[in-house]
Amino acid sequence: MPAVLRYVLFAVWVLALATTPLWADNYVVRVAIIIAMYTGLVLSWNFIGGFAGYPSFATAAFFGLGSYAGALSQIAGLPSVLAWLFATVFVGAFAAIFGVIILRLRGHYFAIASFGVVEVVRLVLSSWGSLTGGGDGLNVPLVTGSPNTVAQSFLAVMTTIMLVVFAVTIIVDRSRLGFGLRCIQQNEDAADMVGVDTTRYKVIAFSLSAMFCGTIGAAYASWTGYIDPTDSFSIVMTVKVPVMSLLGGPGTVFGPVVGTAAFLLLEEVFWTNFLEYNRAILGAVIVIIIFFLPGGLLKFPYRKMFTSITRRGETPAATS
Amino acid sequence: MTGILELKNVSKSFGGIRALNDVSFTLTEGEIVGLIGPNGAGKTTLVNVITGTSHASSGQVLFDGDDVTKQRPFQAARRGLSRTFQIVQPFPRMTVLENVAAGALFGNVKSKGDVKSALVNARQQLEFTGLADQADRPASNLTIAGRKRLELAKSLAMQPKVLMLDEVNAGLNSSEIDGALTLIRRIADRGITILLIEHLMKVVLSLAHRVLVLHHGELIAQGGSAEMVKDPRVIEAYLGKKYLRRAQEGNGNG
Repeated sequence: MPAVLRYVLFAVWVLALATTPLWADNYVVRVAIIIAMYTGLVLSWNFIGGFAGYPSFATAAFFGLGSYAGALSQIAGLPSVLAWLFATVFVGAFAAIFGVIILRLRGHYFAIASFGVVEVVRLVLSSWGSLTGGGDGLNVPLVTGSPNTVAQSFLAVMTTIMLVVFAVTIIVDRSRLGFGLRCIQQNEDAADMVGVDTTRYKVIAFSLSAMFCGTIGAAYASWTGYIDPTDSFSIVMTVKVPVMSLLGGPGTVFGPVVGTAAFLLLEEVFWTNFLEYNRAILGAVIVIIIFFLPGGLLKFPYRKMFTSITRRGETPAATS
Repeated sequence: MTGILELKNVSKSFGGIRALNDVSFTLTEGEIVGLIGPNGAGKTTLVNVITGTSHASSGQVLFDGDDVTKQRPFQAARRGLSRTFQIVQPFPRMTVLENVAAGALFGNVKSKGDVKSALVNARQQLEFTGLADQADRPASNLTIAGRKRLELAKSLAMQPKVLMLDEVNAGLNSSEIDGALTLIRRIADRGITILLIEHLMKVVLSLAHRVLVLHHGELIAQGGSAEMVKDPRVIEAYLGKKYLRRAQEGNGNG
């Protein structure tokens, strides 16, 4: 597919999401918000998991930390937009500090350590009752307005964040940073040998992958009006995000967008049609897709498939 | 004549094993020096210590007058201390051109630092090493000889002052070796100091001005390449005492 066509399709997709309030009911608008939110999270994960090839499971830690940082600063009296920005910077800095420690590990060890970050942050926040309300959770100042206008404004917020992360992805993809991260992903020792400051690059990628999760978490807290540790630090989220990226094609610009859309739409279909078995079916679908499409949906050789199907149709006709 | 790379009493131990023992030598700018020694003599360890892949247990490494004993590999690369690997280390899913561009982009401190000019520089290196027609193939598709050339092109893109070639000729057939010899000579003509780690005596004899002989982690001899081949310590290290005695008796008898 030519590059221009990809951008056009992406623009159409964003437009379709952003205009849902005009042509669909509130349920669809809610789905659109969730898609925009997850696309932002998956694009973020892509910096460390895709470009640098470090399988991070820390998304929920950043999301949860961002939601608490946003909620607490809003309760302290900060206007919502400033609270989101504060959460962004706070989570980015947190990831930089933690990254220096856990990015010394490679492969599976890094994955486990990043999983540990989620648990540590969750436990600290749920035990620190005097600040965070512990297991009772926190009430975030509600956005005033009718349900429709609230949904519309949060759709606008999530779509904007998603577009910002997408823009940063394009910049990274074309820059020296992106080149260096790809070198690290393919052969870290060789990257070091050609002069890539691997530690610095990995910390930057980790921090980039965290900060926007912080923004999204804070915006999510404002949207729902209430957060608690189990909701903010969900293990399902931390697993879903890498799966969506793998489904689309990690380390690419458009893969995360395609993967998130495909995953969430599939999930919607299974929720509505198979109320009891939906998770099991979804799991099976994930296994099948990852097994047969190791490079993600974008790398699938569609053309080859079509030519082989048409040829298979032709051969019996030719022999008979 | 100034020393560009100097090792002072460098030792390196892994647990109880002394891989390098009190090694000292100096490389002069622009010369080609061979580093030979039997398997396990510590040749690759020596290169690792010089480029910061591992650090000396004691002693000093000086590059251009600066103490670089504790440097990290990426710092060595940026300083102009470049190496190739005995086991080639490409970025397998990048094209040949991109592999070389990585060297130009990150290792060459004089470059402008943008991807575009790195690609231009990389293309020049591919022309020089004769890989230009392979530029857009994935690096994993190259033959062994091609990959060795790719390693060379990558190191050259970093504009090194000292280039350490760790067995760049291993696994090549004799016509490929002749090609590699010409290439190394042309690199030396650019004024780059070369440390040649090599098993093949033919290569060492035809290229090196001077030879260092490493055995059990110790520098047992150094000097002109022709005399090193006749040096009894070198013969003993390579072929054993018995052969040395026989060779000397043979000489004595006429």
